[in-house]
Amino acid sequence: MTTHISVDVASPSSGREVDRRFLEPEIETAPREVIQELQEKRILELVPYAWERSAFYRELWSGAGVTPDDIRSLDDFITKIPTFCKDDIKAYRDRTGDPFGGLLCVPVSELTSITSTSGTTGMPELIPEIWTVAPPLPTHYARNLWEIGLRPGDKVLMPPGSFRNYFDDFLHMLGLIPVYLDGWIGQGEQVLRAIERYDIAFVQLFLPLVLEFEKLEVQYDMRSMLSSLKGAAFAGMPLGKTLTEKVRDEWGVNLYTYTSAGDTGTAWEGREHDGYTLWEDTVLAETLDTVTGAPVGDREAGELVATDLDNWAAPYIRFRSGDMVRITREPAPSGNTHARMWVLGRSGDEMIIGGKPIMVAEIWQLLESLPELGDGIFQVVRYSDAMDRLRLRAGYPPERTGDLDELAQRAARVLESGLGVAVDVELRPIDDLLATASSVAKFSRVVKA
Amino acid sequence: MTAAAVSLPRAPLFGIASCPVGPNTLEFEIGWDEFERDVDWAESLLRSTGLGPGDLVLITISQWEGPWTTPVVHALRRMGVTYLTAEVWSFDAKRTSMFLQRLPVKAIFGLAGDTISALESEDPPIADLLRDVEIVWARADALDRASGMTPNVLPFRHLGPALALGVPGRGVLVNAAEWSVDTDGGELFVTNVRERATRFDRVPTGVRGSVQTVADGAIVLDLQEGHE
Repeated sequence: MTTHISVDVASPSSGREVDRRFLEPEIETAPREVIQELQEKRILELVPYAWERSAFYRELWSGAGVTPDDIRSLDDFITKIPTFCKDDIKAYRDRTGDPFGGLLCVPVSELTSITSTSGTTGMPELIPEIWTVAPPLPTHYARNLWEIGLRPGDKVLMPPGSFRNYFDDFLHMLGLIPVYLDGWIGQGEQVLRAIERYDIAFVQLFLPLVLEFEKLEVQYDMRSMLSSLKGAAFAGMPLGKTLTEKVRDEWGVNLYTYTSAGDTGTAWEGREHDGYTLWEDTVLAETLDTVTGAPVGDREAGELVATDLDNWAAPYIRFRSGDMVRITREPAPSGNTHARMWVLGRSGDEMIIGGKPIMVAEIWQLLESLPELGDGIFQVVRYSDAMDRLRLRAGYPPERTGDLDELAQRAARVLESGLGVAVDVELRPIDDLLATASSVAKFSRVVKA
Repeated sequence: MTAAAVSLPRAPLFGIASCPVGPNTLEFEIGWDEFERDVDWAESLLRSTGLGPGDLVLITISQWEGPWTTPVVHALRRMGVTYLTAEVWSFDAKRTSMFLQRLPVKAIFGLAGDTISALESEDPPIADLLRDVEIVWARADALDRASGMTPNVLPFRHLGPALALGVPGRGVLVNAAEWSVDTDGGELFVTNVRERATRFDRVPTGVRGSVQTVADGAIVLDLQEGHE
């Protein structure tokens, strides 16, 4: 058997073209008025387009007494077009039998691919896609990977998950070299060694992989093994403060987290790690007061309402995402002029326990103060609509945990003191708790009893 | 965002991959020319099954399988087929079920035993979901189990670095323009016959079977399934 392996197959490109900070500087640093003009132009095309082709929008907007003739400006759009949520799509589908919930604007035969949402809270929703070079979701990553510093010739470890389409066409689009390696759960050591061996410049991390790396700390110099990475991305199950600090400070990995842009795409951190950038030529993002529905001010908390500006297959138009966020349109220090967003949680994250409103983030912060529970793997058990005690499952690392009864009592004391409610803590090994996740990307923080 | 990428230099390789060879791993590079030839071959093979514009094909793979599956995905796109994506793992079987319940899927590519197990006792059960699917390319651990559920259940196998695919009426095929296959002690070995970025010389595949014929540009295999 003879093989020829030359791992160092390419030198990353150099020269002025690839040295620039922004992939598309003209749009990424566009003045606010240019962004707004672009958004208004697309909205005024989108509204009649969707009205003509989407039965869902015709029904929704007719019910609100709105037609495309009423929409002559961006202001008309945000004051007159009604919002909707996933339940509205589901209700339409259940009523009509249309698998696309009335959103599809083209014949099915014109679609390149159909992916679907994560389905964490129910059956996944279909995401119809039309594209030529690379699928829409990864294509939205292009400016972000450039911002991280990836350049043609760099090697990228292919992420294992495929339900949101395949990434190799996208990586090729940027001149990157995919390294195809099974990086699924249980392959942590293989992934770690591959990063070093191939000089991988970018990897998508997910929580089980980070926990596997954590176990490998005793065998490997992680900082050295991961030194080729220009950056790593993390999304899905949130990584807590303790693990984030470990990845960034101890392992020396520049970790970029990203999140959903209201199901219209993704929003990534930039190099300053100060908010998620919303590419406003692809999404019109609003933040609305959850009670009054009125727009909130810059950096004020509200629900993210998103409109697709670059999706002609099945656009979301004023979609209530359920994400509680703050948004600013102040330019970033880098010169990027697009909106930045900070995620506060899901609108359903607030629970009333013992008559007190409590956010998942508050519980997280308190648990992370306990060394054994610093990985932040926990679930709130919602055992009734009106809960008088907080019931919690917390994941502990067996190799770093001694007396379980003592830890449970200590955790309960910390939580009770911080939250002001009675707390029951059930400890489970981290791996057992993670095994209850419905997907590698989604670990529900609130579960039914 | 695709416009900005047009001016960027092309990656020198399609990618770097690996496959198991006994207890070890064989690493290899894939060049652009051979990738395009692999797409051409996949397209001719898939067209011969009757798939065409407007058909829906559900694909259940992991992205690391790209060296074997991306030629298939590109071929489907060239043919005007719309493809649907679901994970290969059991936790995501509900996505496979969702697609099969909501859309008239004509073929499935990459069906795994895990998916069958996860959906066997669900409502609707996997047997009902597969009833109207015309072609299922199944992995070794799913082949026998799916066979009673729908008529055309065909093998999809990684044959070392090569791809082996079943075609109705023709058997399990390997591209004879790229590969030669021989056996030793019942195990299949592959060698590249046309230049590729990596040279393969009698790579043991871990798959047992025999070579039936070599004709019409294809090597026809008789696989003894159940061996991964």
